Amino acid sequence: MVAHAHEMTGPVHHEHGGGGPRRSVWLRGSWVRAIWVSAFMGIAAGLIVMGIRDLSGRTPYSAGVVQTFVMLFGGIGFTVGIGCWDYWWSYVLGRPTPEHEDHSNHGAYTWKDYFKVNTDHKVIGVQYLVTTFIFFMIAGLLAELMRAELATPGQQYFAPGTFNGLFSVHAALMIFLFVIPAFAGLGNFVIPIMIGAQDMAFPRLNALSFWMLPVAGMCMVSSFLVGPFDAGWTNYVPLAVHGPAGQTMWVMGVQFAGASSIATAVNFLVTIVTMRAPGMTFWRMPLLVWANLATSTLVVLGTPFIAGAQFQVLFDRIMHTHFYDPTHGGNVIAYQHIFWFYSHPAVYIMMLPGFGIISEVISIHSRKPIFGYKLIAISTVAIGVLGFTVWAHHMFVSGMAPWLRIPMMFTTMAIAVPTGIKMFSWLATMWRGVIHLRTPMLFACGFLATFVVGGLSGIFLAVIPVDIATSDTYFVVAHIHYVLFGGSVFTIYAGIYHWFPKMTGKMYDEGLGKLHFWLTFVAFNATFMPMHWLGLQGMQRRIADYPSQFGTLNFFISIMAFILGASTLVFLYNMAHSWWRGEPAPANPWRALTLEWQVTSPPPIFNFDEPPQIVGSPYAYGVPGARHAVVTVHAPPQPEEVPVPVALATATREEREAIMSALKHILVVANQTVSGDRLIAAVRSRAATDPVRVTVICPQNDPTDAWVVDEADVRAATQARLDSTLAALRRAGIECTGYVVERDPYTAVMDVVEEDPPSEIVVSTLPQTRSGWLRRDLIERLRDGTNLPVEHVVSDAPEMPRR
Amino acid sequence: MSAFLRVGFVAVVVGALGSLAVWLTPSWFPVAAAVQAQRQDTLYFWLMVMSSFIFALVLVFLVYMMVKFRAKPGDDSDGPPIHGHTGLEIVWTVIPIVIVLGFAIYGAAALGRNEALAKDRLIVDVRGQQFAWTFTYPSYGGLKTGILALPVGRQVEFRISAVEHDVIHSFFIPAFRLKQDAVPGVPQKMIATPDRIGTYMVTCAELCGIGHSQMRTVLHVMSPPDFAAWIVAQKKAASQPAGGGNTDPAALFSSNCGSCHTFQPANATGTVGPDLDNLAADAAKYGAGQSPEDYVKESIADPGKVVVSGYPAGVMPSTFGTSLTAAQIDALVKYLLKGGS
Repeated sequence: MVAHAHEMTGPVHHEHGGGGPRRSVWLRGSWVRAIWVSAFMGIAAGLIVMGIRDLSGRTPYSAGVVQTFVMLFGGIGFTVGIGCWDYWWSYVLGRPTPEHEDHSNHGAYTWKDYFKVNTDHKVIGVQYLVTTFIFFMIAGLLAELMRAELATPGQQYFAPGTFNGLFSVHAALMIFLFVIPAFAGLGNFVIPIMIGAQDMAFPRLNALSFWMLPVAGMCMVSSFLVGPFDAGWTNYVPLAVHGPAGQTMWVMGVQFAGASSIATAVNFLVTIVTMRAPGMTFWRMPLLVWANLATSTLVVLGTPFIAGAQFQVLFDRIMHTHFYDPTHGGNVIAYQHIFWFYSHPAVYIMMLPGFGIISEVISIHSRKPIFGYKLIAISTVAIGVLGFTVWAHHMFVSGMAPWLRIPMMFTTMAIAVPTGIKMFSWLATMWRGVIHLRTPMLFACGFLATFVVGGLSGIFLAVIPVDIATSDTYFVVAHIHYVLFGGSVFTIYAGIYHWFPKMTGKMYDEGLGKLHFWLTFVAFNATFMPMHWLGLQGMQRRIADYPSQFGTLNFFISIMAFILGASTLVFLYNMAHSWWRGEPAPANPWRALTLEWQVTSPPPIFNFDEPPQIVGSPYAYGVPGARHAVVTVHAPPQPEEVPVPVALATATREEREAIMSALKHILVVANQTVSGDRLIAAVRSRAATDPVRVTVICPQNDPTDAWVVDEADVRAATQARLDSTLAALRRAGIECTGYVVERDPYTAVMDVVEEDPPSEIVVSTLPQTRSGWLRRDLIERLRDGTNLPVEHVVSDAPEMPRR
Repeated sequence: MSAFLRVGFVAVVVGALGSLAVWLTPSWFPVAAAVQAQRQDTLYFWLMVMSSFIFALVLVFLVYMMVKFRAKPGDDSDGPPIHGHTGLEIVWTVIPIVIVLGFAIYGAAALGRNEALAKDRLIVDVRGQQFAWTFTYPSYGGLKTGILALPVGRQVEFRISAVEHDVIHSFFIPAFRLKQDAVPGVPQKMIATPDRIGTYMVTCAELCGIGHSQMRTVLHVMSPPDFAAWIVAQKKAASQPAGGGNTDPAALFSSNCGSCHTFQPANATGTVGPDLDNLAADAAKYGAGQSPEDYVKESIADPGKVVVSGYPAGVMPSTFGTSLTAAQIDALVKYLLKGGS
């Protein structure tokens, strides 16, 4: 019948200017367009700047200036080319834009959809996680190279400048392209479902936030091509101002990552504050949502400070301003204050979402309510507030105003208290629980054991005399890795294992997960625990070479670091293989109460058929009859026992034609609403009285959004809707055929009437306000044009096919 | 006795044993050579005792629960719906507050004592630049040295600065447990009272560029008579004209060049700058017709003029032309070109 559809001819009617044949891959949002637009904008910006320099009598090429403009415009060009701005651009140009109910680039139907701009928070969440793990691997590899160099004293493989680049890029990638965005990715997937929302508040902004990340990562990684930035991730001036060309790439990378981070945080704040389902009061929010609320506030308030500081460094480098130039009245220490005013809260940006994950995982896998829910939520907010009052504890030896040290020591000590409250509350949650030691729970326990070390060494470092002795030594290296690996990475792993079934609809391999945990846990502690001792002995951090007395221990640390690196391969294999070949996951494998487990795995495209009603605590395990939420799921149409009028299957060709001509022919016209329950019910009621055969056509001449949307996707989505309708009708024993036609609906109907006259027409549309067909008076035109009875069925909402 | 109290008791005992282990472990610390170092070590020790106790407490509970409360296969039951316990929550809010307040007050007191100034203190100016430390003794006629010597038992005030157009360094003496950043444009100070005779490492703790890990020198803490003798010897060397002890090229090399350059005769293995064992070949290659002597002399006084390929420009200080006398430079040039003989 598809071939039949192609034979039909007639004027092709275009409603929108952007319609017609599928737009070329060069012009529609795609990787091809991303590459050429990025290259074009970058090169054009570079050439214009060089031209202006030439005209004003300077040397045309200046690495810093040209790089800045090339990366800025090349980076923006990438997001333009991939398609993040298309929708907004249509507004700007006054082009017709699809109605905001349009969801054509929403949801993933094939693996290819993960490589396109997508507005579905679940797709974006997965995009975030996969991307951040790529950068995690790169940054981890840099760490292994560092450990290779440090395995023995003296210079082995890398010149000191390259070595400084290795640890600088390692830290920058781990912080800005792994830990922070990995939490944004997990939050993206989970938070909207947890609060009973259909998506994030600003789905297109969400997509843009994601697509800025690869740009940021490329800026940082490609700095190795021009001489990597080598002033550490802290990028202290004046060293950063003097540094190699890669410094510019670092600044631009931070700007893109920072912009992404701010946009995501705004999105989370608006989503959490305004889009909670009915009944989801603040005191009924899962603790991960609390954590994200606090984190997002920190990001919005803090990130502009690092962005500003890095711009000032960039201006000092390329515009010869003197923000931080002591020879012209600049103040070197001012940079550190501004930097740490962001970067200390950034530690909590990297910790709080992990705390949220741990609260979920421990409560669910111990089958017990979280202990002291309100106190944990309050301490989360307290950490967020106190987080802004402790920054100068990074600067006890920096030469800042000496009086500032004592108050900063007290605030830093104070922040240990809410952190301690959380630790003890998690332990108490496990008490008398029914603990299922699955991989996420193992990582949560691993987190408790390692984070307590990081927290305690934090108290050491808060005490000024001890900090004076140990700051800038390996003691600090050990501390930050206990906090950011034991704290952040372990919680990210816990979160990924915990929600893997929800994200992929597959179960991970429990045995491999446990192997991964134990390898990581043992190798991690063996790598970083001895570093405390090295630091105490006086081995400074960030050195390419060290006195030979530290040789033995460094060799041991390097070997353990290699094992730690190798343990990641177990994880990658488990994830890839389970996603591809894993057992199908049930909706709620952990028997959890929170909302994301009350929908299918993976969740439907819009998460919920109706907004869920929240009725109680998210952690009421062990409370008889307790519920967190009432979730209404629209049951798929159940096949009814309708007698098959004629045994067509056994008929001969002639009999078949005779039978077919004897059946009453009904023509069904519908597009978005084709799989609607009411339409199917209308057809069934006819079949119940008369033997009928049905032809369903889906006129699809004007993809609703020719500028943004890939038309093939629209057709595929239409075909999927049609197929589900045909299946439903056939299950009910109704003989039917159907096809998608590239016509306007009127012409399409007239074509069928001419070829194979029906005795009745059923047209299904959206309600008057949203239906283009009704605006064009389709029903009356059909009645006049065909002189057949035309029934009009209204479906309230488009039924999207489920994955 | 409830299970909770029993486990709590075990945890406290194990915690106490952990603290005891810290107590009995003989050498946590490297050599301490200053009064400040001992105060820091005591503070660190008490922190270790407290931390070992808390760590053991957490670990005992964690491991006990992982074993004891682990779900039996097929057990789908839930735990008891315990939502909290106000008393317990108050306990673990208040006790940590007491502990951290105690340490903060202790830390503040120790800091105050560490930085209390003595009247008869010795003043030493410390100047950092990529990648060397220079020490000046204003009370000894402005004597300048590349290694640090201090008399035992007398408080020292280090006045720390960095060359204006240079980067941040951090003056770090591990045996003193003290460090202080040397910040261009912002003078700093650091107080230490050496109390043990010996030779210790002085290093840079703030990333300062490619020679960061080589920015080391030594500190000699001496008895006061030895220190006086050392001062006299240094002054004599500095004031003597060419041909005196201060033109000993091996000594000049190790205090000025050895941290960055490799040179076998001086047992130097630095890798920041070019390998000076190949100096004759480099001189022929880069000298552009100059005699090797002129090339080497020029490279010491104006290192940015010709840069050996593979090494970045602007790293070697351009101050040696003025900080060394002509006689010293001549001696160095001779020493370098002859391969140390």
